[in-house]
Amino acid sequence: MAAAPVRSRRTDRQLHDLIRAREQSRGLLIAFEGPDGSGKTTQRRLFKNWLQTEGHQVVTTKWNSSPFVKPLVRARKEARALSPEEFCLLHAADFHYRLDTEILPALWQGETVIADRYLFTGLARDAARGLDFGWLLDVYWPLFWPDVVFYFSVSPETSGKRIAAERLPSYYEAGQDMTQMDDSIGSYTSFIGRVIQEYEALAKIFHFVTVDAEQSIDEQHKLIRSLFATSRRRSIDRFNREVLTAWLRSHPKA
Amino acid sequence: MATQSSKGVKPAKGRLIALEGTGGRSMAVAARQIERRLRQEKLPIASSGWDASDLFFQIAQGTRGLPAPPPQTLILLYATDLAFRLRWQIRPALEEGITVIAAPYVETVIGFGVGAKLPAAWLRRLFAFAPKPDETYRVPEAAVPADRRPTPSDSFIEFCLTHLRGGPASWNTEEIRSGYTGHLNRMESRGKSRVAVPR
Repeated sequence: MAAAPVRSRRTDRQLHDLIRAREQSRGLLIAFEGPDGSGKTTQRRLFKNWLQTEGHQVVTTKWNSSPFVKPLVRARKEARALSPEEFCLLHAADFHYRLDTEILPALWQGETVIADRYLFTGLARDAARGLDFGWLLDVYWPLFWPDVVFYFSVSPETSGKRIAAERLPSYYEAGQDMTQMDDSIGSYTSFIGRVIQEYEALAKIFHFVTVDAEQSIDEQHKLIRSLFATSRRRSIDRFNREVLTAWLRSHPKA
Repeated sequence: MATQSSKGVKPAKGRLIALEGTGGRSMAVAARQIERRLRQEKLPIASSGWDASDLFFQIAQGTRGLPAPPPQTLILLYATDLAFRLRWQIRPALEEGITVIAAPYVETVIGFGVGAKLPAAWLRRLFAFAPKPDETYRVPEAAVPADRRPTPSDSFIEFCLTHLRGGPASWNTEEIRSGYTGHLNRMESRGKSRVAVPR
């Protein structure tokens, strides 16, 4: 998504000016990240309701949800037919499709986008599957930075207990493709520890805002609201110009 | 993947032959010509073609009315298909000492990415998981007769260009095609690929 040929011929300078002019009116991108069972979906719903009462137009985008790629992933997951590389690349294709067709158009129109999992989910899970981190960064290149990443931190034990109380984890969720264990709960407990390790490393590298997800739902929600109030919007010109320039080139009517 | 073993002695490790180009019947004909030549050398041969994983077929069946995917999404889907081909077709055959004709392989998708103005260095890093071929051939577009022009169902390039025309984004598909052809021409002029003319 670095640059792309289009029929419209706006110059780089014009596109740059367009991006700078949109800085204040564009929407915010807020990512909710964390392992399964960390309670982030509950918090995302509460936060979305609160934002709407504050007057924000809010759009939610979920991991692995594009109508274009999701059916391909679902069929292959059901057949347990994905290698770690294929698993990674398909989820990245889904992410790039949503970035281009859902996330960027909404942000450009001034809507706040809440991402229930962002590309860091892919990085954490794929690194836990043993894929090279440098290659993973290439798969998700170029990084489109969210304004804030809330990371819901829980121990592997808490994550495992919460998941086991609700349902049996699916084959890939439990990491059974990696552990080769028949017991999905046992496999999950083993695999989620690796995923959380990767998340903790990503939290430092990408400056996540960490929320202690062992706290009560109410405490977490209050904390998120106060953290959000004090967080600063990221300069799209400084952080995301490359992605936006490429997107605007292929969307001349934007 | 079609595997055609011959009675020749197997080499310790198979050779990987890449056949790059827009695809379609002409690629298939060129691949068969290479196969025939190799069979004369008593080499066991296998072939691996685009969309062995059925990803693109399923997209063609089920995504009507959806916004067209950007080039980067299409490239990641090609990478997924190639990872599948490597796992189930190419690597196992090479390990058995079989010569594999991969048509298309990496340079076709890199050419598409270059045509879409994506950085060649990034494309090479993305496809670093694919082993380098021992030989690379290219079917030039000019050598393809009008009645053998590839279609979106038998050509990755035509599939992509057709989808990119679907909107709502505005892609100059002729520029992408031109950039793609230029990439394969440069490969050829630098001696990194040889011409395979389908007859």
